[in-house]
Amino acid sequence: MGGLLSYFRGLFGSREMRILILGLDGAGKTTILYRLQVGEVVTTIPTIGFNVEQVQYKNLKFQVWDLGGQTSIRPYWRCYYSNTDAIIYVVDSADKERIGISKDELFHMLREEELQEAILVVLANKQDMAGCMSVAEVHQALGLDALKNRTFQIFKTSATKGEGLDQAMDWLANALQNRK
Amino acid sequence: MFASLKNKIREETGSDISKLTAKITSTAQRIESLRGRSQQGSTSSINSLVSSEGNRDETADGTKIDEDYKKRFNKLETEYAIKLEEKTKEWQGVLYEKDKKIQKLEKDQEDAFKQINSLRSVLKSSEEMQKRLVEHREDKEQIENFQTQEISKIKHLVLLREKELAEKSSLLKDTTQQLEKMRAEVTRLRKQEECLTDVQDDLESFRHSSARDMAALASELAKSEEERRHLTDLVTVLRQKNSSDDNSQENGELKLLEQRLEEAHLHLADIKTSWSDKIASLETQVGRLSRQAAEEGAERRRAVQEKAVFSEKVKQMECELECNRLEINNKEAKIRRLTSEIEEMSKELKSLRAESEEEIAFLREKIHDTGTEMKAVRKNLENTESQLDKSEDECSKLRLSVDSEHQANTSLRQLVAKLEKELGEEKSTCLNVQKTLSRVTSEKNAALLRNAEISQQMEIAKQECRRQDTEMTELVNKISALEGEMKIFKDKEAKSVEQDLKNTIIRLEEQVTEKNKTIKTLQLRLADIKKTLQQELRTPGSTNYHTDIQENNSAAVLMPSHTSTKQHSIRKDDDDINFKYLKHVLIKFLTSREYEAQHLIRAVSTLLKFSPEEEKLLHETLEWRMSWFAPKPRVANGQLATSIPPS
Repeated sequence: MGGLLSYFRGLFGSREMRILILGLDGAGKTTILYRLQVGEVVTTIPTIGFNVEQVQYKNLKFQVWDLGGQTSIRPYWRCYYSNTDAIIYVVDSADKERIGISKDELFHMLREEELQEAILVVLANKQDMAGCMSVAEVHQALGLDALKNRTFQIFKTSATKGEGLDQAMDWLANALQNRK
Repeated sequence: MFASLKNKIREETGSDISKLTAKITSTAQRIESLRGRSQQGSTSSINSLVSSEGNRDETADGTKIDEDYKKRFNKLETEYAIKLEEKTKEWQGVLYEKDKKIQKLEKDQEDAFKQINSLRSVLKSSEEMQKRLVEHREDKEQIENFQTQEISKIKHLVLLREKELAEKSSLLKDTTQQLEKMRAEVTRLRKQEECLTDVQDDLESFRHSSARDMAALASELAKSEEERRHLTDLVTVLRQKNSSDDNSQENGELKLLEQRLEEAHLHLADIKTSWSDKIASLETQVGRLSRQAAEEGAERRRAVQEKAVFSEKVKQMECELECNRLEINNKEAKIRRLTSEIEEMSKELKSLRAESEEEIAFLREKIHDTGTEMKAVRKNLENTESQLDKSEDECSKLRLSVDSEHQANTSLRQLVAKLEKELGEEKSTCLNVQKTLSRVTSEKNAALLRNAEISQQMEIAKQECRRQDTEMTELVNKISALEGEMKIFKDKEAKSVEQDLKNTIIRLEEQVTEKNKTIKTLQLRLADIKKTLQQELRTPGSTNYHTDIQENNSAAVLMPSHTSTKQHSIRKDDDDINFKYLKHVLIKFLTSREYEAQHLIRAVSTLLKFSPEEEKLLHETLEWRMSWFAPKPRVANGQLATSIPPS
């Protein structure tokens, strides 16, 4: 039955965009995913594994994969890289100690062959926290100046307050449509 | 679910499930026997097992493996070559068909274009027709305008002529009236002429009579003058006689005579005056008459002149009348002509109108026809365009599919090349494996030794555990004894003792739990060591050939490791999270649709450390489930089967 459905989907429907939400543990990936899907803040537990949801945004269908970001399961990210259209990389702006690790993971990920065509959206999350880094600081700390040949954009967001996500999704939808 | 599976299996193999159960039982027996052997091996010395199996195979298998390898390689090569050829043929056939289809579609497209062109020309002609119709209509309207203008002009002219005619007829009436008047006057003048002639006659007679009177008077005057001269002569003669004869008597007689003469003279003078008076009166009468005659003559002349003038005038008027009549006749003729012309024109107009209406109707029909035709044509056009679009889409699709086929072909070729390369690599690795095999066997011995050690340790731990258990029971007994004692002792003492005892119990329990923990960790460690041992055995390669060997070996080696060991592991948390992750991913993989499951193949195969073949098999199985036409993936038979065998 599922095969039949997907067969028809392949025939008629436009292909869903495959998007990965990545980032260190506790950056707010799952909160962002459900904020995008249902528009509400849900209580989350640390993701050991992943979450997949269909997100509809402005006539575009996304299949969004939120992968757990704990240190021991980060190596499994690379199992999900194939056929990915875009990556949403979430950074905890208030976590100044681990920003270096975040940067290393980001650049390690971007070196992958399968992600050369993927669009990158960096979300400096938790902007509502006191004493957090600004967008420019996050940009600096992640060393995004060094990125070449990559369509990317950085946004400041607050998943719990729902700020900045719409701009980011707007930009992403435009970028995906322009690329086609 | 099982029924469908059964049916499927029946379709696949064509044999009943009962037959296969026999097969399965046979394989199970085989497995049993193997297990027995392995248990035997585990109980027997490990060294002898290794020497009896490892050393025996090592030397003899070198060449055998090579040959086997070559054979396998050749078989694989030929298989791949055949597959490749088949694929290429198939694709070529598909490509040819697609080309044909494309050509057909192009032909259709050309036909459609031609049709479109013809329809366009028809459209153009109809448009021209329409244009002509419009021109015709304009012409007609112009002609009608001209006609109406001319008619109005002619009417105006006719009106003018009629007015003139009326004027002329009134003039004619006037002139005839005048003529009548003139005639009346003429008749009156004729009467006066008669009167005039009478008067002239009278005048003539008067003149005649006066002339006669004058002649009579002139002759009387002459007679009287002769008489006077006679008398004067007689007077002179008498005077001479009287002077000569006697003067006295003569005097007296002379004097008488003289008197008499004088009297005669006087008488004569009287006559003379009377006569002169008479003449004068006559002369005045004559003058008057002559004057009257002159007057009358003048009057007559004037009348005559007037008459002539009038007659001339009459003549002129008659002429004019004639002229007018002629003119009127002309005009009437002209009017008649014009009316006939108008009628003709109107007729012509009507005919033209009818004609044009006919033409218009005809043209309308034509337009209608052409409109319907055009509609049809448009529909046709749309149809053809849509067909064209469809065909183009199809074409592009076909092209895409062809491209994808090409890509698949190339990828297959690459795969073959890769496989060849792999084969080479595997040849080299084979040697390595042979080398490492010896190393591994030695390692294995060491590991076995260690294993034995661990098992010994485990035994010790178990003994300790047992001892502690007995201790525990003893303590429990003691506690019960103490409790018995406690009943005897008073509350205070009992409380303190109880406290002490409780503390000791807690301590002892803690000790027990610690021991249990260490036992668990040791067990985990043992499992870990087992795993690493397996990995080490497995790492050199992952082809079927090696798995064959490994299964033979592992069956013998792995069995003894069922007993638990005491080794402690630090990676417990890590393993726990990995296990959780694996569980989560597997549940998702099993519960998700095929579409999502495809993306999870890699994660699952990474987590479970699948070989490329197993991963490929998983992939193919999913594809087979998703599509309608893909072939069922081939799986090995018997014990090597990775799927449930059909029944």
